[in-house]
Amino acid sequence: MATKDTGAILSRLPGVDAVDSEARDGMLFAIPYLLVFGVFLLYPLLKGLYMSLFDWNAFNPSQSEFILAENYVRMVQDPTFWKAVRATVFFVLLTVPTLVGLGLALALGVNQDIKGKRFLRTVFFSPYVLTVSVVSLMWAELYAPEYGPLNYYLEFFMSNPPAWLNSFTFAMPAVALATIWWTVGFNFVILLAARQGVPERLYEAARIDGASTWRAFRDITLPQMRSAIMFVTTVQLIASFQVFGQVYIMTNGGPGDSTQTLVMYLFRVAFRQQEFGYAAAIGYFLFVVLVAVSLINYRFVGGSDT
Amino acid sequence: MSRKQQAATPTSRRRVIKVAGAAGIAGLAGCASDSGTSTGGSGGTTTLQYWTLFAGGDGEAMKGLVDQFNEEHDDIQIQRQRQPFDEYYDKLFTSMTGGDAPDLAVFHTPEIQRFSDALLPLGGMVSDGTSDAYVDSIWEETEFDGDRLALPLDTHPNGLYYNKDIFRDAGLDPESPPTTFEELQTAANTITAETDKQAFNPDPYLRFFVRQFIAWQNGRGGDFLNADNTEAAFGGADGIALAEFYHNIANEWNWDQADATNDRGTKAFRSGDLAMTINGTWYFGALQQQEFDWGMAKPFVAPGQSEPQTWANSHTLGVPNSSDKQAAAVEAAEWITQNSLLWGTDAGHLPAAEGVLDSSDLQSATVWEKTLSTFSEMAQDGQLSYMPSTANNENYKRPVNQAIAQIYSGQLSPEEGITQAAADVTNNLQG
Repeated sequence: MATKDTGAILSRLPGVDAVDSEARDGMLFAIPYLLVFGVFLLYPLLKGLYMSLFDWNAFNPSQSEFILAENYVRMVQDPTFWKAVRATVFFVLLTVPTLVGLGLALALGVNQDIKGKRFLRTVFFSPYVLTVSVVSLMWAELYAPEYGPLNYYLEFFMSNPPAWLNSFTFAMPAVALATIWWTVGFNFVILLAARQGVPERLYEAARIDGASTWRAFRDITLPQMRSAIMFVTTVQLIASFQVFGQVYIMTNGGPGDSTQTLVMYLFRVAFRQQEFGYAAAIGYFLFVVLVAVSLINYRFVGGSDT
Repeated sequence: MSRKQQAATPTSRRRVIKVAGAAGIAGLAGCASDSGTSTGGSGGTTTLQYWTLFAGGDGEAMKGLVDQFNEEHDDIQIQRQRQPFDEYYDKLFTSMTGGDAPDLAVFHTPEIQRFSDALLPLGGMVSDGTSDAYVDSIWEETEFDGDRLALPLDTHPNGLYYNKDIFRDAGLDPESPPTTFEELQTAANTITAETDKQAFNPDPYLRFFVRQFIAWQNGRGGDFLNADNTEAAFGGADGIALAEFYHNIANEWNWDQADATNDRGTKAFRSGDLAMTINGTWYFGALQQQEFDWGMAKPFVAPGQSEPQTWANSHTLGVPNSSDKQAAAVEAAEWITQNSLLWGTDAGHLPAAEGVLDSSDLQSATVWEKTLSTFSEMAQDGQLSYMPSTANNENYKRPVNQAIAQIYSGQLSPEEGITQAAADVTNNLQG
């Protein structure tokens, strides 16, 4: 309906016939996406904000009590929430630099003229097609204290290998390692494509001028791949801040709260403690953090060519 | 065996071992045949959707009860749906808030309160004499703020299960299981010295520590929460003494490994590598499948049990108030809870229906001599500790389970762990 009205208004103005049909077509093409966006993203986003201002009664939403910012105040004062923030940041620090760095290294390595390139490409990317439950169950078995292959072989070298997923020290790094193995393939593919887009003549020119490999990497490869690296970093930051499936399946947030990340805590608050309002507030905190992190990333890593 | 379970529940996203172990009776194969014997619901037949969380022997027994019900009723047919134990209440909550609730569902008594807004009060729907059909103490557990919200199916307390073959190997009398902490020390130390088996483990699943902890805390004359359930009361000397007991079992006395990997204890006990453990009524079904000789005794073996208590819980049946088949659902709930002989003889639980509990059919069954007579005695002596009902029991379960797991695996000192858990529980209850 809205498009018809807009079209009618536009057509009454002189000299806008061309604009009219273009605008109308544009809107028509955008409508399917806007519908999906509105129903599955915008509406839940606004509804979440609305819920976060209430002591939400899940069984009788109409009886929910409006409490303004109380959920947010409670969040700031909730030690478990801050533990979850720390656990999440720890996970991000463990995964994002490694995922980007390793992805880049693999991409540059496979870009060389080496034997079995095609095979390696498939191998590096293949874990990415698995689902989170498959990856998590598989790694949980690998890490299993008594019968797991990892500890079986470690026992040849040490008398008491750690119970990885039950250890305060090792649980989060263990989850991070599984995550890196699982998702590095995505970064690898993006960065490989970006590397292949860098014109060879730049390297030729550099070689003629006597530039070392390192110099070529620093002054040609990195700047040329900047957009791709920024994209990969941003996507990875968002994914790592939102980590849930791996910890839910591999550790259930334990031992203690050491692997209880923000989304894991949000899930517990919403579905175990039945406090949707408070959970929505936690979700909004995460949302704001992600927007901020992405903006900072665009500003500093993205640089001028974005 | 757990592989068969895995195949039977392909949709489970959790670690299969966890699910299987949590159900407690993972030893039985072919346990998850979920289909009820629905006749299709035409011709004035009301078909009820009934959600349970029973696997293994419990699942078989409940299937048997539902089959019996369906055979005896032409107008009502029950379709049984089993949900994974660990996700059961999450799914139930989601279904009840999403307007797609079952007509009838299983609730543990301490979980009823958090669903109270969405459960049908049964007062007007059951006959006045209904209360007489159930054991008083269990009946009382299903009333909240004056509303009867569920009908009790059973009570399922904890007992001390022990492997008589290991007792014999260690030179102990297999007919004299330990009844006090001192006797436990003697038995466990002897087993540790004389055999290569593990001697004692207080929670074979290594993640439900809070259950028996509450009972033992009460048994010392202490409280777990304060009177109005707003604060932890276990952070003092009694709680720390118990925490030291957990610590010592695995870190000082070598009765067990200092490793809180889920379900490690139940695997060890079932494979005959663990001499004693504490578990619920449902263990009967699983242990009957084992080749070793076993017994069960009262689990009053923690230090300082002046007023001995054991953990207990009840399965109950409740009707979500969104159901449009309420009368039929209540009728089914009454029938299942009052015709629960199979629930005792096969699943090993103490039926809540007086008529079943006192029946010669039950009292002459193997299960009575093996376990139920002892459980029944503890119930009659008022030695059952139910967990407190709060707006959300996760608030106290999780911190305590986590803390004791860390104390047990030697990652936290008893005092540090229990103090932290008490602070977390208080914070959660007041949050």
